[in-house]
Amino acid sequence: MSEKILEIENLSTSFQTERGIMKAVDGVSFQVKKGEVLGLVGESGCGKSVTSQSILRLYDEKYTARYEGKILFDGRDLLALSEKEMRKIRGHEISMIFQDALSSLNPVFTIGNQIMEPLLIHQKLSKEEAKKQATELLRLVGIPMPEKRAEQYPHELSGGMRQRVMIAVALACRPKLLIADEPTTALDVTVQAQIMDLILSLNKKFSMGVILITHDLSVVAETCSRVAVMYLGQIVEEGNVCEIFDSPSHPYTRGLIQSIPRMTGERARRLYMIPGTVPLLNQIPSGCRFAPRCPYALERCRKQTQELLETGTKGHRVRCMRFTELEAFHREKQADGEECGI
Amino acid sequence: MTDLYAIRKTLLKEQRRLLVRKFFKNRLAVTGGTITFVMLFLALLAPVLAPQGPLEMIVTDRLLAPSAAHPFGTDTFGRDVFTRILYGARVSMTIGFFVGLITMAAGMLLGLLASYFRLLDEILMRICDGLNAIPSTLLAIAFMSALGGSTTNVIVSLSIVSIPRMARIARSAAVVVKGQTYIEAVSAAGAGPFRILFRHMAPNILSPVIVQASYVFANAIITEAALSFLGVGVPIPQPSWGNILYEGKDVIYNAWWLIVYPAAFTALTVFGLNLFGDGLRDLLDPHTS
Amino acid sequence: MREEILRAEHIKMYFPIRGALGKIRNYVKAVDDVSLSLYKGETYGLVGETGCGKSTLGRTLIRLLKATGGTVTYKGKNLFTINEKELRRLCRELQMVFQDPYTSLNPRMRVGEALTEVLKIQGIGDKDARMADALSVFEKVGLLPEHFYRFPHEFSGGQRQRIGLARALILNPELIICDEPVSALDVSVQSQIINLLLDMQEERGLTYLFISHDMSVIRYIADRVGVMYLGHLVEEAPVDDLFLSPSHPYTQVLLSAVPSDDPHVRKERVILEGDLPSPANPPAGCVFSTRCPYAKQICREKKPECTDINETHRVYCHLTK
Repeated sequence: MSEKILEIENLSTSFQTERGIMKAVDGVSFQVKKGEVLGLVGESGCGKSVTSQSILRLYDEKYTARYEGKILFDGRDLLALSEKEMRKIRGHEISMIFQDALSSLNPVFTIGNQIMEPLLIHQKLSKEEAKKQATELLRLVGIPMPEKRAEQYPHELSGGMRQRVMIAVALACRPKLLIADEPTTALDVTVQAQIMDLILSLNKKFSMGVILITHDLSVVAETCSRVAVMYLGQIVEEGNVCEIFDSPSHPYTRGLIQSIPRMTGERARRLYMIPGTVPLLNQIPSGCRFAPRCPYALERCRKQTQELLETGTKGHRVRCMRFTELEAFHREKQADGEECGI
Repeated sequence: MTDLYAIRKTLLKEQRRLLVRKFFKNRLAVTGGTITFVMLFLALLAPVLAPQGPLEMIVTDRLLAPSAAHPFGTDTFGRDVFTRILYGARVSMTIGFFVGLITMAAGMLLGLLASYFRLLDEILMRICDGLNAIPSTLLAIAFMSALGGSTTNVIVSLSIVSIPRMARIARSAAVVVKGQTYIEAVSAAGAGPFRILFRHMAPNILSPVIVQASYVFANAIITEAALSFLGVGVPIPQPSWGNILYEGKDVIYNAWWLIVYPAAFTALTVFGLNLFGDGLRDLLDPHTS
Repeated sequence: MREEILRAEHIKMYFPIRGALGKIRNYVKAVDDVSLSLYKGETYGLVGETGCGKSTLGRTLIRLLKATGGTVTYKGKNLFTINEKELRRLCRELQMVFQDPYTSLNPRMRVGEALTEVLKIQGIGDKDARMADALSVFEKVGLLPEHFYRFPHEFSGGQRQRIGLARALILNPELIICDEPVSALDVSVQSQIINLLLDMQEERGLTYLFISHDMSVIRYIADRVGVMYLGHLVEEAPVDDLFLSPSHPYTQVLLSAVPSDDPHVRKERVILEGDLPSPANPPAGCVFSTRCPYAKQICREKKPECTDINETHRVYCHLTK
């Protein structure tokens, strides 16, 4: 169970832009174990997508992108591999599904053809064999009448169906790691529920690791076992999903959780707000990056940079120098009967 | 209120500064713009720069090769080719400029109206289809022979020929803009069709239209040269780049300079304008900063 | 009962599907026979999934789209029959905030001008007065005077949505149709905009028709909720009623699909089978009958009538009894 498939150590991804070098991911480390669903959450611009695309090295390294650190996949460092070796890994051992299934599928090929493609490339199957497997995969992802659907083109399917096809394509070679980048953001709730259930059941069935990238905290609460919260290119908190939701240690995590309107219980008169906006990557504040928006920031928060700290609970790390004080503070507040959602 | 005006003033200044900086960072626009500017400059200052009059013949100096006195040589009548090319630039630039301007204005108007009124759209677009079916140079020749040769008529017929394509470009841009939510928003505020068309839609279709206008400008220069070369453009003896070529074609084996210089000037100007157009396309996109 | 400001009856909005030569082949029934009332000062939440016709309904209510049938009565006047001039005047009272903050602002217009423009269209005040008005609304929604002459691309999504709201507020409307105003925003920005909407409502006694697909946002902001499916209103109830005792099978499915925000609770869900039928060719009988887990013979044959569960809770389902 605790076999690590992916271990990222101190990954930084920077881009050469007109305005200079922008570090979109700055010193990110995390691990994914076999059969585990890791949630990577944060708001737009926090670097969660860049992190995931860096794992597959999808950026143009010749001109714009630069990676640093280590990405150990099955013991090999992906950043040390050649482009040719990398190609063998993409879509074969690590697969990715994207938010926009319509533009990720090629409109001029049939569904069947697109699922067969990775099988033909990576597994060198014969055409008939690939076709048989493609139908099997479509059935696996819950598409009714797979033989008929395999003959259809992407535009003939609904959004939910297309996302299922994307998952089928991703699973074709039985990857050890699946990266799902906002797989349900463009979908309706009822369809989202179907797709998330599908991803979870496949995760159990093949015991592959899943990295789920999303901005939707409720999706994370429901599907992930561990969560990493990102802010401005850094992980600010990481831990077991229940710990994160029950007692978030970083003020940003706490703010995010409190900002979502609740589906149960009392409604506060106003929603909790995190003041201000996410700064641009070329205006990263000194000291703790969240300090300018943090209601608990002190002078030292603005001055000293902060590394991730162990909280004492196993596997729970937080990037906040005041987390023990704040923990006590919030516990006291809760004991006083004041809900923290005000 | 006064502080708001002050804010506006400093902001406009800053935005202008940014725009200028953006322009100078854009190599295409700078190169193309420089070439175009130099050509315009030469055309404007032709009377000052030219060593002799454009029609002044020195019979003894016929068909002289380029020298210090006549940098581009002389033609069969002993006229200075450099002078005639400078004056020819005036004709070419005038024609190009006005054809570009007229085409832009008319094409934009038609395109906007067509995007908004369905019936008008059908009628206008069928007329455009009809005009597009005939090769434009052929059509221009037909117009010229009907109207007679003069600079004004060249402008008129080249405009007629290039309006349909411009109207189509303007229309397709306008159709996209019309579907944008901000247009819905002004109509929710109670704006009428003409306000929507000219105040809100027009500025948003301007960039493809201006880019196309720069190509029309370039194209007009080429077509004018072609028309004059065929003898249906600007009437002889008025100098235009086409006319110089026309007169040079008989002596092409003896006097290469009669062909090479006007051709080079035409090519360079067109090249400059096209570069400028491509540069403008990048510059006019409001989203890049 | 509170004061009713808008009453829509039997609204139909059919979009023609044209075949070759512009001949009408069929209609997409985007909204089919929907009736609802809005009361002064309330927030009416309209929920449903993509393609259920909620945005189309919102637009027909203020005549941004010309409805195929039905009537909308606003303060005693029939909105569908009044003339252009009167409609233009009524635009002041009926405004809209749009979903996508990136396409809802004119990229070539300074945001301050976008506000004064609205006043100019309505012929309100002179240049200085308009400017003063615009600036005061601008500050009200939390923007700074130095933002006044900037272009939309210089703003973030949340700020643009504030500008969109300012544009609606500047005419002092009675009713604002909010078409998914927070769906394109990040959670932290979403809560800022929702709070701003609530502040404005409190201050000015506004009525909102709040269109959204997000059940948790609806639960937070709405007083009454209408649920739409395939062009039809299937259930309407006060917010707590609807979330605690949903009556229509579709509402139940919708609620069970919402992910729980508590990681300790893994919900049992009703997973919906199949795809949404095409609105060009809706099922006979109840529109939900093709996917409803409880569908009976009658559901496939006869359109359900409106059943009143109590004074404020109504549902369109044969099986409610």
